Amino acid sequence: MSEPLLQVSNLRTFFSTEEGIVRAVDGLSFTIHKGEKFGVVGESGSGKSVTALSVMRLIEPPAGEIVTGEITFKGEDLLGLKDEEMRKVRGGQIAMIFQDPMTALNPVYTIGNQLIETIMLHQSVGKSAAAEIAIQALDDVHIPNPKVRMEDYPHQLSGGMRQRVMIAMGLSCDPDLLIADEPTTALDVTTQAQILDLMLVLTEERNTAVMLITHDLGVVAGFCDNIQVMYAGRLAERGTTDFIFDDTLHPYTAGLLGSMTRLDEVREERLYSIRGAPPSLIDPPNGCRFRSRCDFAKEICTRDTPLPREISEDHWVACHFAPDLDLIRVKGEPVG
Amino acid sequence: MLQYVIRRLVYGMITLLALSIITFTLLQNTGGDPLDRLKSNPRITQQAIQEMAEFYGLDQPGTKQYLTWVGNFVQVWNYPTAWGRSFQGPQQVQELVLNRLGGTARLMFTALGLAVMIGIPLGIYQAIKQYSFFDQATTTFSFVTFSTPIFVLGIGLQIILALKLEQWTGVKFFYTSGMNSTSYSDLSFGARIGDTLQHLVLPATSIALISIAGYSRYQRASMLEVMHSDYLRTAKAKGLSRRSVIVKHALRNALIPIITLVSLDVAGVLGGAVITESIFAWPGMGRLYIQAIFLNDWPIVMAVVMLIGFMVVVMNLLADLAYGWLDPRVRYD
Repeated sequence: MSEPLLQVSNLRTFFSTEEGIVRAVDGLSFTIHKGEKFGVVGESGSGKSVTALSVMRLIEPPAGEIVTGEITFKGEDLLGLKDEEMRKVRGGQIAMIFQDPMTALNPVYTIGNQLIETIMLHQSVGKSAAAEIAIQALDDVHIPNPKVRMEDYPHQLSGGMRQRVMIAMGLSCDPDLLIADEPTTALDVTTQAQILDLMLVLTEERNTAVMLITHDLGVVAGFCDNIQVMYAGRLAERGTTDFIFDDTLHPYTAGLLGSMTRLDEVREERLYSIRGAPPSLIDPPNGCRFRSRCDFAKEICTRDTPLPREISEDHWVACHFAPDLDLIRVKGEPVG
Repeated sequence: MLQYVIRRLVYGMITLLALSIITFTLLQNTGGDPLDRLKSNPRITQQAIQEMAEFYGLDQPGTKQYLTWVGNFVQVWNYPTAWGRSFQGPQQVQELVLNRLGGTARLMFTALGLAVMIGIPLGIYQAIKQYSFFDQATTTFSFVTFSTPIFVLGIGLQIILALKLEQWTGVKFFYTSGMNSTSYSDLSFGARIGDTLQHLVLPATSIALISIAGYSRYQRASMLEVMHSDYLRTAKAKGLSRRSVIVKHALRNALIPIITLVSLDVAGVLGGAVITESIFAWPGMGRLYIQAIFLNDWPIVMAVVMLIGFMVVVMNLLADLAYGWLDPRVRYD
C-alpha cells in the first residue's frame, strides 16, 4: 500500500442538544492512503457524515465540537491549522460533494460562476484562464456543450447533470482527496451507475483518493478498495472489499449483507432485516452498542465495550466473538 | 419582458376598475347619506338640502353617480376639479388629497427608509451571530417593540424624548405636533431643515421602530434558513472565507423573500398612519381618510382608496420585476 494520505485517530465529535450530548462520532480511527478508494458504510446516524465534516472542519460550533482526536493530512495536523490555512485545504486539497445535487448549488448564480469561483480561489489564474479550466472540467464530466452550459443556472439542469457539475467542481482543483457524501442517493438508479463510473474513471486517472460515504453496500462494492462499516458512531468492521463481503466478521455487517436483494438466487422467504433501531447516542451505556439488535449477544456484550481488533492483516472488527460466529445464516451464502 | 409589463399593467387597470366599483357600491350602501349632517340641522331648509343634493348629483341613481365620478376621475389632468368636491366645504378633493400627499410621503418614506436601512441589516447580523448576547438582546427588544401598540410607543416617545428631555436639559430637541413650526416661513434655510427634522423625528421613529422589529425578525428567519442550506455548506466546503460565504452566497438568497414585505409596505405608504398622525397632529392622508369615512364624504374616500390601489398594483409589479432580477428561477412568460 502506498503512503498514508489521511490519518484519523481517536476522533470524537459531539453535539450538545437540549436533551444532552450526542456522541455522534465516538473514538474512531482510520487511514486513507494516496489514491485509495475508501468506503464508509452505515445507516443514518452512524456518524459517517459527521466524520467527513470533521475532516473538513465544517462542524459548526457552538453546537458541534471535535472533542478529541487527531486528523493528519499529508503529514499536517488539520485540527491545528489556522482557519485561513484550513480554507486552502478545503476545496483545494480535500474536496467534498454532497448528497442532494438539487440543493447543493446556489440557485442564484450560474454554474460557470460557481466553478470559476472555486478555481480562482485555489489556483493563481485569471478569470479567463479559470473559465477555460471550468469548461474543461465540465467536459471531463461529460456535460455536452460545456461552453453553453456555463451560462446555465442550476435549475436548468437535471439532478444527474448537477451532480456532474459538483464532481467537476470538486475535481477542478485536482485535490488529493475527494469526500463524496452519499453522492448517488438522491439520483435514480441508472444515473447512479453513470455517476459512480464517472467518479471512478476520473479519480483513477488523477490518482485521487476517494472517501465514499453511503448506506448502500451495493454502491461501494464495485468502487472501493477498502470498506469501513460504522455503527452508532464507532467502527464495526473494516477491511478490503473482498474481506467485508466474503469473510464477514461482524454481525452488523452480516445483517447489512443479508438484507440486500441479490440477483443470483431465487428467494422464497422474506429478506433478512436487522431488528430494532439504533440506540440513542445521548449517554449510551457501556458495552457493545449493537448488542440489542444482535442475534449473538451474550452477557459480556453488555459489560465490556468491544475494541477494534485486527483479526487478519488489515481486517479489523469490533466484536468480542469474531471470528468465531457462524454468520452465514444471517447474511446468506457468499456470492459466486 | 416588455410584453409582461404591459400585460401586468392591463391587469392592474382591470383590478383598479373592480376596486372602484366594489368600494363605490360599499360606500353607497353603508346606510348613511353625505348630507345627513345638514339634514339634522333645523336651520337648513328642505329646499336647500334638495338643491345641495342636485348640485352634487346625489339625487341621481348610484350607477349614474358612479359613471359620472369615474369619467371625471380618470381625467387627472383637469386639476383641481377632476376628483370632485368634498361634501364638507368648497374644497376640491384633488387639491385636498395632493396637499396631504406631501406630508404623508415625508413621514412614511422616512419611517420606511429607517426601517429598511436598520431592520434588514439588523436581521442579517442577528442571524450571523445567532444565539449571541447581541442576538438575544436585540430579538427580545424587537419582540417587545413589535408587541407594543403604536399609541403607547408614540406617546411614550413624546413623554421621554420631548417632555422630559426638555425639562432635564432646558433645550427643546423635538416637537410633538405638526410638520413645521408656525414661524417656519421666517426661518433661514438651515433653520428650516432643523425645524423640519425636529418635527419629523418622533413620529417617524414611532412607526420605524415597529417596522424595524418586524423586518429584522423576518430577515433573521430568512437568513437563518439560507445559512443552513446545502449550498452554503458547499460554499464553505469550497474553501471560501466566511465573509464571501455570507456576502456572495447567503445575502442575495436571503433578501428575496423580504422584497414582498417591503414592497407591500411601500404600497401602503399613501394610506398614511391614522393613529400616529393623530398622536402627532400630523397633516397626513390617514387622518383625512378616516375623517372622510366618518362623514360619508365618499369622493375623498374614493380618491384615497384609488391612490392606495394604484400603489399596490405598481409596487406588486416592481416587486415581481425585482424577484426576476435577484432570482434567475423566476421567468416572465
